[in-house]
Amino acid sequence: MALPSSPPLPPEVTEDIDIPSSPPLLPTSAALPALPNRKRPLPDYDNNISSDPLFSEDPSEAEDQTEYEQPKRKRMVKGPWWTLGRKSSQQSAPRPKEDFRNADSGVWLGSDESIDSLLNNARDLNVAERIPTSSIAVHPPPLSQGERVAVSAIAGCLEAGRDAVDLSALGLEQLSSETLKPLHQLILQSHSTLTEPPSEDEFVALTPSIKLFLARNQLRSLPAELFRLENVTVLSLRSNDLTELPYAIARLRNLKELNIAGNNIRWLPWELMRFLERQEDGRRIIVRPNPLIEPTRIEGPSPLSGLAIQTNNEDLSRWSDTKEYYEGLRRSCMEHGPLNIRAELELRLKYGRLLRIQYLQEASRAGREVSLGPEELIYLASSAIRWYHVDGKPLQKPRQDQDLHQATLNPLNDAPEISGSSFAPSLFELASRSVQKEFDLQDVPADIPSTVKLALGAAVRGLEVGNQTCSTCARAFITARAEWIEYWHSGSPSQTDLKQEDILPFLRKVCSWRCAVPTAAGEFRC
Amino acid sequence: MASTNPPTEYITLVSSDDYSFVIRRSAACISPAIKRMLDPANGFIESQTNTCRLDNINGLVLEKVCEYLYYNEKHKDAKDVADMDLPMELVLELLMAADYLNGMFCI
Ligand SMILES: [Zn+2]
Repeated sequence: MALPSSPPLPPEVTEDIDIPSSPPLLPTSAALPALPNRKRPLPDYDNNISSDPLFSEDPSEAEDQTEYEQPKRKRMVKGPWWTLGRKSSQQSAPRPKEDFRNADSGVWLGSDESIDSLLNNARDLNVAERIPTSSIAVHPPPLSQGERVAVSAIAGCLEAGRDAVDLSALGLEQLSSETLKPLHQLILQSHSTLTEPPSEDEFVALTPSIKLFLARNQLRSLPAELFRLENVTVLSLRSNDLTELPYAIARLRNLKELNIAGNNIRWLPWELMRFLERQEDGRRIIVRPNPLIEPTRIEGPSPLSGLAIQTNNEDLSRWSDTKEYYEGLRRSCMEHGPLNIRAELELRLKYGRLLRIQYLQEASRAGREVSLGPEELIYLASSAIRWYHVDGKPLQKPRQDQDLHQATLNPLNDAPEISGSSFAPSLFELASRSVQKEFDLQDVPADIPSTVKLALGAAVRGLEVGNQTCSTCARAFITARAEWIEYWHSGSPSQTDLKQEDILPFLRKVCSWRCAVPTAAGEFRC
Repeated sequence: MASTNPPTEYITLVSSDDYSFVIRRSAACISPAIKRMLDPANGFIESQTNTCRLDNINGLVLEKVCEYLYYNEKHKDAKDVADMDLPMELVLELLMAADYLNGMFCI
């Protein structure tokens, strides 16, 4: 029977085939187990590994290695186009990484658009590099009127030792990293009048707490430099055109007040949870108004209003009782018909609250101190998880309906075969990280698949602000393997009804399929 | 060509430049492309010969890919595994190979 072959058919392998002289510098075979019947033993394989050290800690040495190897590889690798691209880039003079980073300063945000422009930028540089002129200056785009005002406002703050930096209502559509950079040098006025070098204590006291007001501009993205200004304590982004708040916001560890009201933001980065968890030290965030996505419509009377809800917590001295109580409530709800998502959200809110109260009671009995914020943070529900291939392509076709972000009782419904998958990073991820670490981006050929392009775009951003970390296992990653929305209740514990305006959507991303585990019902933060 | 139907424990990956690597099936099948080629249900000749020809991947790169496949299988359940070291001069090719091994057939 003739069987179709997957493309392409293996060609006839004949003995007189032109075997490449010997694969140059193959890695040691130690990592490979003994191969039972290697059909075509690699000729001279063992002789070859003996001579040169293959990898070296010293990057310069490693580069030499590459160059040394190049002629052999040209012979060895016949077709693949990416090698051609790599070759041509290797012929061009290396250029310091720093140049490139400066050049791309302005655009930064997690939209495809900016990734494209980053890579276009890289490609342009690449092209420019091949032009045999002696020195190529990277010209930053001319500054807008508003940004010029911003530059001088920042210079003014530096001069006066003022840490309230007001850049609001300047008509800014873009703000470049270059413009913000001088703020690293900001020191308070009294500091500059000291005659002696400040002592450790004095120094800390004189560290500025930068209040950066960018309100009422038309910013669509934020410069990477913003997230490197560790001394920012107040950040107002109110009334701009932001569609997303970057995960890098978590890098502003001293942030106390954040205002993102009046943008086009639909969800918050999961990284902002950390900020919300520590309300006790006076942290404040103003999120609304924004077109935040909603778990489900919440209108009309509560579906639980007919139920006798027990509020006496004394009966619930054990945690398992609470779980049972919650299950019992669920069951009695279902007697009136299938549980709708809103009823489930309300049940989970009650459940989470009971567990929270129990936790607090237990803590006070044990004499432990628990710092309480004014708002409770209780997990409500998740959207369906969206799964991605190693290169970031969606596993399923994105659904056309609007239910994409809606809360569901079964977020793992469309899960691929997770059990077979591994916690280990994918080869694609490992290679992207190495490219990020070892290559200037302009060394990458322009004609690469779009998925690789996307990954490298994320790698560029990772270079600027650090790679994103997995919301489950906290490992850094470049390409997420799954993401979903989690809805959390963030409101006053005294507010009994579930209200849309107390629900915050967070976007969670994870590094592997196995990390795609939504929060469990009943979880809370104090 | 004798067709040995019960799946063998080892399969063979052949590079574009005709190097063969024999590797445990369980490790290789993490790649959707390889898995599909070897799945008898798809009727590809590869499922009878237990050999996959990877025309976009040369021997040097494929050797590293095999090393990765074993690394991946070994650390399947480890939450804090150190990243496998990749030789700098191959990372770009490996990136493309990874994309190819994952993406082939599943567009
Ligand atoms: Zn993870």
